[in-house]
Amino acid sequence: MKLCAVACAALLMVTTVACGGAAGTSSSGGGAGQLTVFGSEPPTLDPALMSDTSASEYVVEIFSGLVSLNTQLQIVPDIAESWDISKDGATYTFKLRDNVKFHSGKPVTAKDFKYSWERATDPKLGSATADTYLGDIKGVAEKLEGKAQEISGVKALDDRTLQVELEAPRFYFLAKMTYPTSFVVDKENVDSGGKTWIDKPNGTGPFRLTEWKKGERIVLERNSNYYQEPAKLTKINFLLAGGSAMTMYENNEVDISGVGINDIERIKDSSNPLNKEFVIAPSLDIWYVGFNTEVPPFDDAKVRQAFTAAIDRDKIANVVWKGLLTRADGVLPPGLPGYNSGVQAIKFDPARAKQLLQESKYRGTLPPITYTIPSSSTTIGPASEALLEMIRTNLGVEVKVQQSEWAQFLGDVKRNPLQNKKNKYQMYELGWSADYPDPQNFVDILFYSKSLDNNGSYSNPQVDRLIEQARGDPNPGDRSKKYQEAEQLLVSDAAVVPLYHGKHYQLVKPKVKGYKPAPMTISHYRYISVE
Amino acid sequence: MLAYIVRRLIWTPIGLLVVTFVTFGLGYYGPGDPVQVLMGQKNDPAVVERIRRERGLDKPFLEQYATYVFGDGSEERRGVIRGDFGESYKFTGQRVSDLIFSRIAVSAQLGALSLAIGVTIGVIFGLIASTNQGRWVDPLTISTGLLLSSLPVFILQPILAYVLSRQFHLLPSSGWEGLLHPKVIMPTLVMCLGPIGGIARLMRASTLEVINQDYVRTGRAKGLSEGTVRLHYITRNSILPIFTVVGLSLASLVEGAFITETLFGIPGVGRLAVDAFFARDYPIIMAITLLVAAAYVMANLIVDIGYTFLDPRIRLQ
Amino acid sequence: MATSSGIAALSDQAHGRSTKSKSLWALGWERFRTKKLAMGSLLVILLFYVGGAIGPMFAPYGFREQNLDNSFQPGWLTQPFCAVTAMFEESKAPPKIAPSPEHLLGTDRLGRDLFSRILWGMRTSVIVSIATIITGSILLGVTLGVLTGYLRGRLDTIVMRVGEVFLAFPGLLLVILISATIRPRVLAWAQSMPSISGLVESGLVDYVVVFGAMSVFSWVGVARLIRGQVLVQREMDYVTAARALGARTSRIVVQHIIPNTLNIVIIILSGSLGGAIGSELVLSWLGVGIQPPTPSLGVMIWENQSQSLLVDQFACRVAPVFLMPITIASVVFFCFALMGDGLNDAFNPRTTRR
Repeated sequence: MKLCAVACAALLMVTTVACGGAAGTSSSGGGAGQLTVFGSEPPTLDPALMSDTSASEYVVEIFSGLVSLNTQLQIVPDIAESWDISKDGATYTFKLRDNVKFHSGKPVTAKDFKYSWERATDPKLGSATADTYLGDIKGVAEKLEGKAQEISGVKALDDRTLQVELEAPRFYFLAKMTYPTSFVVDKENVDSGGKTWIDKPNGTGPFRLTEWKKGERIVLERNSNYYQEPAKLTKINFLLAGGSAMTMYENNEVDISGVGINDIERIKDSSNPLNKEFVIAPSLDIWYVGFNTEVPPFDDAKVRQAFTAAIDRDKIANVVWKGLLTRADGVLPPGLPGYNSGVQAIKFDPARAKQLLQESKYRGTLPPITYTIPSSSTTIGPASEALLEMIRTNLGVEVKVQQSEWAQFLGDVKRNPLQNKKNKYQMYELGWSADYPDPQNFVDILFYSKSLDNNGSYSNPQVDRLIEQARGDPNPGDRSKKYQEAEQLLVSDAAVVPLYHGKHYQLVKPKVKGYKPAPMTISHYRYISVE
Repeated sequence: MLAYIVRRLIWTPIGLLVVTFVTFGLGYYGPGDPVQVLMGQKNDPAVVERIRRERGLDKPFLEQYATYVFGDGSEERRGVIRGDFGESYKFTGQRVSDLIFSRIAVSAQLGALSLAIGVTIGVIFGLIASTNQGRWVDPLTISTGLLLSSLPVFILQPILAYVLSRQFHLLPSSGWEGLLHPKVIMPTLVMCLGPIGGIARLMRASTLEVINQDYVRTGRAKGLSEGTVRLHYITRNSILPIFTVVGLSLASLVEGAFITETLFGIPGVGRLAVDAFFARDYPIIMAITLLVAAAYVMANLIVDIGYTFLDPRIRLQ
Repeated sequence: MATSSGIAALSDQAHGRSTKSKSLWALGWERFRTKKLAMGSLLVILLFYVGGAIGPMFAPYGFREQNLDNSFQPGWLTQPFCAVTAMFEESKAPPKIAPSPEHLLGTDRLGRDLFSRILWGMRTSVIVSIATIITGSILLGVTLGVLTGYLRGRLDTIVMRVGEVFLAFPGLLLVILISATIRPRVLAWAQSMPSISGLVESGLVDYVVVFGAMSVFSWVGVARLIRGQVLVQREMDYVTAARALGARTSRIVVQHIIPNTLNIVIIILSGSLGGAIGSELVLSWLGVGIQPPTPSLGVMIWENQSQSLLVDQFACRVAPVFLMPITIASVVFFCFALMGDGLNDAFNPRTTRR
């Protein structure tokens, strides 16, 4: 009978909870100066270890670095108030502000930066981002190999002067410095807590972490010691637990929400009250169909062009995705400095597609083709299904589809010259989003013939030459032109089929003022106020 | 009796060791490289190699397994037997044990509450049905119970969230703020339905079985009140099979938690497991497998031992 | 019985006929036939299976025939229902595309005929439940359960301890692990064999691997349930009496013990068929389902599980892309449960006195 007693008690409890519940639902939004948003669980908040946007969203608010991006993606001074670049472009001298303090009140010096970077490049830490973002600095390679105790290229000349020497001139170096790997951390803080120090981080950013209940919530509170204009919000609650963001928004559980494919038409309808709460920002990414140009039939540009012409990209972006995404013509996304709106894409033209296939060397002898999609979900998604059907009906080619888990996909699609490993796929779907706002991050990394991330092994001497010239070109306008030229070449050559660029569609409650959506993750909560 | 319990207790760790070996083996030989996932699309084989080395992922299988289970003597890796499940791949630098234990509490609260409510409703349904055997109430109650249990979470969650949250703003749609917050109501409502049908049916069957037993007739013949007969002679005995089912339903509860927790965004073990699975975070997957296995074995042990106290007809060697 | 299910005629003839030394099965069937709810459920289940087996042959469209200009056309047959639900809907926006009899249930996001896709999805469910039976955890579980429960001793200890190890694995986690680790290899192997590569596309290979692995672990649950029942039975007076009279063990097992475990076997059997269809839903939802482009009810549900889409479906602005498959699945689960209940009443020798 005991079981019954326990169960009955539980039943009773639920009914009382239910009574208490109905009254107190609409209070979750919080009062003035407080913002409640939907957050994702960060893998870590350690600036040197984090590698994705689910972490950087918080890290850029808690920590800060020498320079940062503003909402227009321009590089602006942050902890450094100014900097000098040597004539050869290989030495940067940063002058730090004199009022920068950690949350604890301790002043930040150039030595703290030297420490932070040496910590990030310590092989024991195992950072996956240190090579990318700090690797241009002289001495970092040796440090990462464990051959050096310190980074020879970084010198703290005095408390407020930091000198950084690069291996070679890199005009995107400042852009890379906006990424959290180079942010400053407090040595005492790191040493005090072992591996859990990051649960109580002592940063320099506009907000302090006051609560991190794993899986439930992250709470940031205003840092009144902030060296720039302090944040208007007193508190931000990030809900890590929760279901449909849209439902939570409409039920007043969160103040800001993303908009999904099934809501987009409703939101865009001007008669809908939600229409007024709606903001858009581009997202700096590109989704494409990749071709492995080392294997038949995609070693023939005509076949690639035929496939490109057979795909109605406009329908995919605007019908299948309902305009939630922008159709891509080139590889550089709108909003990126150096974006070219005039890039000439291969037009959708089934007749031309068939003709191109006839002109190719694989006329009538097209080998079987498998299209690989990185996905551990059950479906390949409507866009891919539509795409395959377009190839089938417009080109008469039956493409087999294969799903591959992300972990396996990465292992298979990447080349590894050390082990002479080649890309195992013929044709695949992939996306790329900007790490820093520079066309180099797209054109050079994805299409330079020797780049390790050029998965399709695309090789075009003309494109290579343009990329090489752009690397050493100090004039930003000229560099952009060279990248745009290279982009046009590889689009015409159908190195990939650009499909679409992402867009951030968001709903913001009217009481939230000053919300500016940015195409990249930057510190922006400090501009927001809540009435 | 004592010998039996001791023997069971000795078997338990051996069984769990087998569980660790199988899961570790599956994780080790499975496709995909955790370091590659960590690196994302940035391809640099040299860096991958370096991180693999730092994390001891380049060692032979048995050595890795031994380190995982028994530790390597350092404070950093104390081994599973000392409660250290290593470090998560995805949640860089976080101990698996730290990640899991707070979530277990959440899942256990939600699960226990749902199970208690579900079983209670099921038992009540079963008793109503058996009392009214042959009348229309009987099939109606059982069918209602079965109907409630047949409704998949996938249909309940969106409909409840739509009606109760989006249209009428009565309840928060999802999330978790502890057992005493209204956020707990909707998931509990969904999760408690699962056991009702089965329990009601079982309760009814076992009550009908007991009703026809001689001792019940004896009890009535002795002139005991109907209430006493029902409570002490019938229900007390007919509730026995429910224990086995409740013990066994622990596993299905965990499975239900996978979906319910993910749909309602509840930070429990189920959601963590789903996330870990998609991220191929094997240390977390292994730890959860192991803990669920341990909980399951213990629950069964308790059920078995409890059974002998409750039903003297069953003799354990 | 309160609910009439239109097959009362079927059950009438079975009523009150005398029984002269009929087998337990014949008796059970006769009793089962009188249960209108259960018989109705059986009929629905048969309909589902027949529909799944031969339906695709009569499907008006192919399961992947797309028409992007006709995305989300509302269902033609579902109009009357929507007239009711639309009354509770504040937004009165009409559908973008008017329903037409060419697409009885309308079309999905890519303009594919929903009716045809549902027929194909049902076929997948049929394959799944067959795959489960092929893997045979029931047979193994029942045999071992009876043997261990009755004979006990060393055999019992070994089987149950081994079983405990197996049982301790959380089933779903294990299926996930197996599907992530072993399945890709088996699939690659099957695809390289020309004679069976077609099976890969039907999803059968996926399920034999996943459910096969599952049955290695799931026999234990069945065995334990049966064993529990046998443990009770063997202490019963009539068994003691039979033993005292010198009946052989095999005779006691076959004549007394096994018939008394039938109710549990039947519950398990009817449950596991429905359970297999349910597992498909859960596995698809977790991304472990069958490979595209084969449609399945689980995939359709997963694809269209958005709440906003649900609102549009209630108001008939779009085809019932989520509601239809989930309703079919729920009805089938419910019918399996009702049938299992009826079978239990009919085939359990001691709870059937009505």
